[in-house]
Amino acid sequence: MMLYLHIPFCKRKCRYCAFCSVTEDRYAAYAEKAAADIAYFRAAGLLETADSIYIGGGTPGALPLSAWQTLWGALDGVPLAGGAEFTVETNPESTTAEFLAMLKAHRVERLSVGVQSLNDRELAAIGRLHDGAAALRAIEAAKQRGFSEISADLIYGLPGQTLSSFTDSLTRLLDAGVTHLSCYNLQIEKGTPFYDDPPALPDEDEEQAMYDALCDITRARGFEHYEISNFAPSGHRARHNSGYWERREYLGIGPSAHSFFDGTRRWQSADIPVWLGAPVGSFAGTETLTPEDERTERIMLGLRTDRGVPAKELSAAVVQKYVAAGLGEIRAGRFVLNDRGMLFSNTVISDLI
Amino acid sequence: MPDQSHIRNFSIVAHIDHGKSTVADRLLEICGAVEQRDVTEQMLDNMDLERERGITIKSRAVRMDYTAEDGQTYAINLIDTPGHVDFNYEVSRSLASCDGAVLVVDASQGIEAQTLANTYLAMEHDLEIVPVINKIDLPSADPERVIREIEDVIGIPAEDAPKVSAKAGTNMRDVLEAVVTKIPAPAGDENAPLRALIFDSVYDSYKGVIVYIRVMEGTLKVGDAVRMMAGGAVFETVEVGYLRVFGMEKTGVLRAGEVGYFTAAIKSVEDTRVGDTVTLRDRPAETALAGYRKVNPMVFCGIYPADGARYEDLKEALAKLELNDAALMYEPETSGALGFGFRCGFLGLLHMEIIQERIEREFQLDIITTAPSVIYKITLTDGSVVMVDNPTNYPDPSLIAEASEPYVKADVISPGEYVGAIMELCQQRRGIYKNMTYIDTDRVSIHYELPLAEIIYDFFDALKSRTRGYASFDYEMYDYRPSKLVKLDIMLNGEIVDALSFIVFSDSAYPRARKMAEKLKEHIPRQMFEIPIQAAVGGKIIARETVKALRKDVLAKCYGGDITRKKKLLEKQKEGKKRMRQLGSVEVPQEAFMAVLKLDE
Repeated sequence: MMLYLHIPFCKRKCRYCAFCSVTEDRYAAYAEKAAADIAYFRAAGLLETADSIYIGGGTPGALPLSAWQTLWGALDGVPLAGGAEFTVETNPESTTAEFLAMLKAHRVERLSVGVQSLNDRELAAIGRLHDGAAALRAIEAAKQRGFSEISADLIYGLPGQTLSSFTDSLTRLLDAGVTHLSCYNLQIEKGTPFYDDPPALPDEDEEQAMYDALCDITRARGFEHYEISNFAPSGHRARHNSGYWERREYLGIGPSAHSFFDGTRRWQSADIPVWLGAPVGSFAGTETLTPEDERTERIMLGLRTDRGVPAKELSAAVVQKYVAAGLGEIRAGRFVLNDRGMLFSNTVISDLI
Repeated sequence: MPDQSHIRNFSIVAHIDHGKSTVADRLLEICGAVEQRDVTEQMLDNMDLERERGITIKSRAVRMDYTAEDGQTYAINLIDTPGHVDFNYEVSRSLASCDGAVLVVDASQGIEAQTLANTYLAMEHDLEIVPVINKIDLPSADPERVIREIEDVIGIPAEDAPKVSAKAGTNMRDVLEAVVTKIPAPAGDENAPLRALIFDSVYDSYKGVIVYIRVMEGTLKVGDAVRMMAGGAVFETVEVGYLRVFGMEKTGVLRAGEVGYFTAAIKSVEDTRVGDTVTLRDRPAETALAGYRKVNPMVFCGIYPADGARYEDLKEALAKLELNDAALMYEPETSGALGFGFRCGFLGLLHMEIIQERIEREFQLDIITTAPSVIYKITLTDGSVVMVDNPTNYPDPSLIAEASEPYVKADVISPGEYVGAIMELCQQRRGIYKNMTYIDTDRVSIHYELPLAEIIYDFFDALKSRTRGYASFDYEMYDYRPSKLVKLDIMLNGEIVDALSFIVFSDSAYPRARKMAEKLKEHIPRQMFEIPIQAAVGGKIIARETVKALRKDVLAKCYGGDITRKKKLLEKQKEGKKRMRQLGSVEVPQEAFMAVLKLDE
């Protein structure tokens, strides 16, 4: 079982963000409920060992240390399986020496830093609280503190971004020694400030060039394009996140967190007051998967990654069509999308499910 | 059974929504043909579609008994007529079954195009016209003006016309009195050889075809062997009787002057065409009644099942509709773009829309229709003549000596202030101005000759919008005239899409091509490659649009919390794909085929 803990707080909400986060302070109440949920599921036998732990947000660093102590009270006792990965997300401005020391003292070995860009104008345009220099300092500090895996998030297609400003951010970030990269295409989602007030964005040709550069530059540095938005050298892939794409079981705790076990997807309420008031160990909704749902999930998740999907599970004619169109190939009996295919993965997936 | 002097046979003619059906309902009530509590609105129109559109599509007849002020009881047959120009021939046969017509005119709107067209039709059949002014309860009612209009424009006395409100039930008895006193009784010899006019027929799955007739001369009895004089088919009657509001009353006999029905285990309305004369096999009449003709479809389009797997269902739907509609024609057709379907022929646009709606509604079938076409008359260089109702069959231009298209005589009635707008529209549609007459100081009747092809593209909508809905419009087929025609082809990604081809007047080809290309661009989603949309005449490209290539179609993030939602998104995308037609390499949504039929929006 993998464990995900969602920390729904941010110091400020970014202009593109559709994740569950708030800026109000319900820290203590949140930590107590989260800790109680963890304890509940441990007692229920769901967390005998964790194959991985991932603490995301929101901004985990926005949570005061006192609240963290409450969380550690529940987390420290969760046994980690051999080789388990323990990741915490962090933003550059909250990656303080104190914070890093605390994480290190509680078994965290992997950091995922929300860099997004190293260009200060771009960072200001999307409402980030840090500048490029702070991001590089945070990575350096994490390295110094001895975190073995450091991942960075980057976004392409930002307002005001150009091909050269993007490749500049990318190469400097790789030079800084990150062991993993998540690089997303900016998507304007409903319910975000950008949706209501759309910014001027790079045109399609420029965006395409950024994606091509992203694939080329990372590959030249020995990073494998192992998921639509994820790149890492061999041996450094994100194990927790890979678990989602491989349909491994996970328990998610926190507002809006999803779980998957016993063939059922479940989730806790995304509304913080509702979540705080919900009975310990409860879920707000469930989806029991039919065999058809499972097939759809295997295809839609498998084709996101370089593992692909066994070709025998798919329509040969459709697969052939996309192979002929240059979007993928059959590798060791599995249909796998290439760089270009991943850009059209919805087209391909919706044709195969 | 009353003698002929106590029978009255009449129709009600009116412009659409002048209250014909409401008048009919009130008359039925007064005669006790129907109890008040049983009156559903406008009961003569018994198809849902008719009720929604407020028009009568197929005629019906009903017999009622009325005790008049003279103390005598009369058998009154009300024969309902379709109110739309597409069904002009049916109207004429219904009128031919009558001896008089009640002309209902709205007290505020006065005479409209259909009022005139139907009145003239009634006068052609020498019917006694009984004007009735309806809706006198409306604040804007001006019965005196309307009476003057009727006298001036139609030229019949209207001084004594009953002034009624069918809605409120005011003065309705006056209408029946006028029917009894003004409309002549029938006068046929009941001992002569049988001549009965078929004015309608409907298919009933238990009894076979129910044939609606007016007996002109002679007598028809159960067990008689009857022959259709034009169609030639012979049947033995099983039931003979009157038509009542709630069904049929078996009487075993119908005599000269009477209106009623017979059944004879007839399998298709094809054998009992409207206008044919029924006579006795063993004692035939010498001549048939005048006026029979086989109605021919004027407008054609392709109908395809949206889901190709439902072709058989569509075939069955058309077969069932045809049982009741001798004017509907269809034959199998194959389109490279749309697969297997049918080429269907209709009396006119309304008839086409009705059939399309009935297929969708009564048979729960989603259909795709292609652009309606008229029948073009093409003389080839070898002197032979071909009639072309399908662009696919349009001959190579080098083989065409002369192309002609059908024209109609159109009559538009409107308040004077819109004359300019109407004339502009008619000119745009290649109309030939004939003349204009004033109905009163404010309203004019404008006559044009127009190509039918120009009318089948939203002419009526354009007319309504330019005249704020005040103009009314009617037309009848006229003749064929030489024309400059071209076939316009649409190509997607370099391949011709046969279902989008159409025949067009050459001067209109360029603007039509451009609009068509623009509409398609609007409706074809971006795909992984660039899609050129081209419109071509004889291989020459005259319009082009491009659907740019899709650059990406991807969900950037998908982690533990996103799976359920993103699964639904992808399933929705898959559903959307199902509604697409694969044309070569291009996926075209079904809406695109429908959208190009509405080029003026």
